[in-house]
Formats: sequence, structure tokens, C-alpha cells
Amino acid sequence: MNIFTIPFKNLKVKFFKTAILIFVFAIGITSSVALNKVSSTVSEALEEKMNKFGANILVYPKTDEINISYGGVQLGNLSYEVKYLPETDVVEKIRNIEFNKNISAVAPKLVKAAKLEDKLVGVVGIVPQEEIKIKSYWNISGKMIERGDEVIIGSNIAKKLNKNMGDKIQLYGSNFTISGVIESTGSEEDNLIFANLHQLQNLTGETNKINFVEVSALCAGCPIEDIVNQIKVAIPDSEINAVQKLVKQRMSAVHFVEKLAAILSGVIIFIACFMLAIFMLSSVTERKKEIGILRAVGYSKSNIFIIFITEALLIGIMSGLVGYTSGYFLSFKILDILHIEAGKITFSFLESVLVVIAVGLIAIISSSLPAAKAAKITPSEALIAL
Amino acid sequence: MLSTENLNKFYYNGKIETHVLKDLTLEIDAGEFVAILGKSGSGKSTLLNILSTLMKADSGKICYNDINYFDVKEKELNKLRNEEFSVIFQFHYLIPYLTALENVLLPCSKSFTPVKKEDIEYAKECLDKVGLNGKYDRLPNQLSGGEQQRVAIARALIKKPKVIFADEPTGNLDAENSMIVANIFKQLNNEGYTILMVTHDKSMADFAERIITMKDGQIVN
Ligand SMILES: Nc1ncnc2c1ncn2[C@@H]1O[C@H](COP(=O)(O)OP(=O)(O)OP(=O)(O)O)[C@@H](O)[C@H]1O
Ligand SMILES: [Mg+2]
Repeated sequence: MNIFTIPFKNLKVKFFKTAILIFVFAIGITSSVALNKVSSTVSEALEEKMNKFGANILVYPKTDEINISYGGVQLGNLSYEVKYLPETDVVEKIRNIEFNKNISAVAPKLVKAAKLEDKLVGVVGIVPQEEIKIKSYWNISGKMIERGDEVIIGSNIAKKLNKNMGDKIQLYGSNFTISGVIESTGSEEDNLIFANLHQLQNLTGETNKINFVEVSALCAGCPIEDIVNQIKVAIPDSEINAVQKLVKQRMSAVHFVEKLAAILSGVIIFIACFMLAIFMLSSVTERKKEIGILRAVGYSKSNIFIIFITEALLIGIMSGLVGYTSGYFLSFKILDILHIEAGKITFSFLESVLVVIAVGLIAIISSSLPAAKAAKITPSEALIAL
Repeated sequence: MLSTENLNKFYYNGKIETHVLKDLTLEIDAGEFVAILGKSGSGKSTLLNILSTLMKADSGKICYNDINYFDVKEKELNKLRNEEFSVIFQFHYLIPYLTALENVLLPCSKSFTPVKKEDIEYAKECLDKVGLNGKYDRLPNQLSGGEQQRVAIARALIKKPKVIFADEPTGNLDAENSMIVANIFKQLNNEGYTILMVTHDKSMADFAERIITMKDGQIVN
């Protein structure tokens, strides 16, 4: 027996009351844990989904001309002089910026015109393994180009020229096999032929030249402005077009989910703390007599404070344990309902310990006022209650 | 050992002021068994509570040996309550969820370290002394009123205090149980304890060596 025997036994004997309090407090913790687990998974899933919309930074050669386009109609920069960027240099520089960890894909492109069966077609040279990262919205019937003598074609071209997977076509006097047809994307891509960048560079004599680079840099909380600036510094003679609006929207959607979860958890925990404080307060009034006995046998103010704080701490620890465990399982259930893969949620021992400690601290803080009130009761005050 | 000089105590109930102890002077020597008699409302409990440090007087002087209550800090008073004094009330006041033994050990268990083995042994000895051997693990509601009061007496002995204050310890007991308690007090006094007992009951007061009679906040004999 020591000073902790009193709070322990008191909670034990008031089992039903204690259980209800722990239950209510644990509900608060459960919903906070579940909300945060779900929100972080959802925002990751959201980010992943939004990344599928494609690249968000475009790097062009610098031009003094004014580029005139309106309503999708390209009036071009009126001099027909086309400018290029050096491929290896540009790709390397982008890959080496300070925030390169945030860059998921660097997809250089060369756009050329070609004659195909007497029709003028657009051919885009791409680096397949980079391109596939930003074109995850592509549905290719067939497969992505693997070899230099393969191409994939847009759905409109396939229809107009009546070509299909496995057919052979001739471009720039060379033979190519159609490895796949891209299902309609509703964009310009439906009218294009995609070939291996280096093959196209060789055939057209534009070695190491590209027209532009699409860069995908996106993650929740990515400093996109800084990335753009770093690319600008790395490649001074380039023009960078960050799809700012899209980026901002993506970010705010991601952050909205997280903020909402944080606010809701805050409110829930605040209410739970409030309840605990009220419970402790009524417990103090109820146990005035007990406080009187303890004071009469020589317990000090701090002894009384410790007794009440320990009770709150015990309630906090138990609520934390119950709350974390059930919140963990609840988050699976919620994600299941939302049809979101829960693969990223893992049970972390450290996290559970931290949550329990945090809840314990919260319980101590919210009951420190009632405990201080208990400590302040003088023996004579308690005697009147006797 | 215990002395007061011109002690005054007022109660304030809103605007109504009650002068309960009026310039009360008193001297109690070590080893005495003193009974305080008096009509209801004469201020007996108030005096006892002030002497046992549970209540503060408004003016005057009150000393235990050379400790002046008005001069010392709270810490010192806690020490007095824990080590030198014990109080027994009319309503035993045990903690309902602790066993008889744990209630007796209460004054020894205010630290983080567990109570010592010898304290537990002595607590059992105290319970035996008041005739409660074999009932160590009973909860208060599993004991009779007389037995509960005896647990409170055992608790008053655990720290081997110098002075035992008792406020109508038999007020709630029948004649038989009252006699048991009175005899325990007599025996404790023989063992050297100083006892200060408030009572209504003349036959209880007869167990004491000295009787102080109170009237309207003053000692009349
Ligand atoms: N908390 C209080 N507030 C106001 N007046 C009080 C308070 N406690 C006691 N009194 C008054 O002080 C006077 C003395 O009370 P006290 O309890 O000391 O009397 P007592 O001699 O112990 O009486 P009893 O034999 O009935 O226990 C009484 O008139 C009582 O009404
Ligand atoms: Mg009284």
C-alpha cells in the first residue's frame, strides 16, 4: 500500500462510473486516431490520383517572340524558326536541382511532322519509361513502346488510317511496328504518333534536341514554387510554365482533408477533456469527506493533488490504450467503406505509446484544476462536510 | 504540553457573527486523560478542532510544546497531524473502499514507497488491541458501527502519537460498545497516551482524570 492505492481502489470500486468515463474518453481518442489515420491515407491516395492527371511543370526554350494562341488555336510565334533545348544537359540539370527528391518524372519530348501514306502526321519522340509515369491516364490496348522500331498511336489516327496493333508503318523511310493504340483521351494526343525519342532524333537529324520537357513534381506539401525557381536558375535560357492553378487546387484539396481532420479531432478531444474535468470536479465535491479524513491524518495539499491527478492519469492511460486500438481498427473499416486501399496503415508500437502518453498528459492537464481545488480544501472546510 | 491563552474563535454566516470561543485559556499536561463536557453548542468541537490543528483560531495563543500554531507553516501542521496527534470523530470516518487494515495504515501511506512491513505488523497489533483480530480485510460496510469506531481508534494509534483527540467517540454507539471504547481509552491512557475527549455523557466523562466543563465558549470549572 502506498499513496497510489487510494486512486487505484477508488476507480476500481466505482467500476461502472470509471468504465463509462473511460468509454466516453476513449470514443474521443478513437475518432481522433481514426480520423487522422484515414485523412493521411486519403490525402496520400488523393495525391496519387491527382498525380495521374499528368505533369505540372513544362520547360520550354526561351523565345523573344510573343507566343500567340487563343482558344486552342495556335497562331504560333510567327517566325517559323523552331528553337530546341539540349536533351542530356537539360534533363541532367533538372534531375540535379536541390529539391530533386520531389521530382517524380522528367519526360523530354521532340515534336516532328512526318508523311504517312501521303498524310501529314505529328510524331512525338518520348522516353517511354518516363512518359508512362506522367501518362498513367493512358489506356493502351497493346503495350507501351519498348524497342526503337516501335510506335504507339492515338485513337483518331488509328481510325483514320485504319491501323491497328501489330500493323507496320513507314516513317522517314524506316519501318515501325505499332505496339499499341492509345484509347481516346479527348486531347491532342488522339491525333499523334509516339515514337522513341532517340530513334526520332536520329532519323530527323536532330541529335540531342528536344522541344520541351514535362516535369512531374508533386507531393503533399511540395514547395512547387521553389522547384520552379530552382529549374529556372539551373536552365537560364528556358521558359517555365508551372500549371500553378492546378497545383494549388491539388494542394488545397489535400490540405483540406488534413485540416478538417485536425479541427474535428481537436473539437472531439476538447469535449472529452471537458467531460473529464467535470467528472473530476464532481468527484472532488463528492469526496470532500474523504479529503477531510486524509488531511486529518496528515496528508498534505500536494498529497491530495497527487491522488486526484493519478486518478485522471489512470483514466487517461486506459482511454488512450482503448482509443488507439479501436481507432486503428476503425480506420480500416472507414477506408473500406470509402473504397480506399488501407495498405499504408500500419500498427506502430511507438505511435501507440506516444498516443497513450499524450492522452495521459491531456488527462492530467484537464484535471489539474479540479485536483488543485481538492488540494485547496482545508481540513476545517472538509470538517463541515463531515 | 498543550496550552491556550485567550483563544477566540468566530464563525461568520453571511452577516451573522457567532463568537464561539471567548478568551479561552487552558493547559493540558502530558499523560492526562481529559474529558470536555458541556451543552450542545457550547463550543466543545470547535475547541477540539482548533487544538488538533484542523481549524484555525482567530486570536490568542495556542502552543503544543513550544510550537506556536500561529507561527508555523502548513508543512509543520501536517507533520503534527501525522505524527504527534490523532483525531477520532463521532462518525468513525473510514474510507469506504479500503479494508480495515488499509484504513489503519492510511497515515503511513502518504508517500510513493510502499508501507513498511513493521508498520503492517503494528497495524495488525493495533486492530488486535481494539478486539478486531481476524477482521483485517473487512470493508467498513462489513463491520458494525462499534467495530468501525474501533478501526478508527486503531488508525489513531498507528503512528504512536502523543495526543489523541476524540470528539464524542461514543456518541453513535450503544451502551455496551461505549463501555468497550471507554475501556480502550482508559487502557491507552495507562500506556502513556494523552487523551482529550469531548462527550455529552457523564458516565463516559467519569473515565477521565480531569473534567473540563464548557459553557458559552468558556470553561466554567
Ligand atoms: N461552520 C459553522 N458556521 C457557523 N456557526 C457554526 C459552525 N460550526 C459551529 N457553529 C456554531 O458554533 C457553536 C459551537 O459549535 P460546536 O460544534 O463547537 O458545539 P459543540 O459544543 O460541539 O456542540 P455539540 O455538542 O452539539 O456537538 C454552535 O452555536 C454552532 O451553531
Ligand atoms: Mg460537537
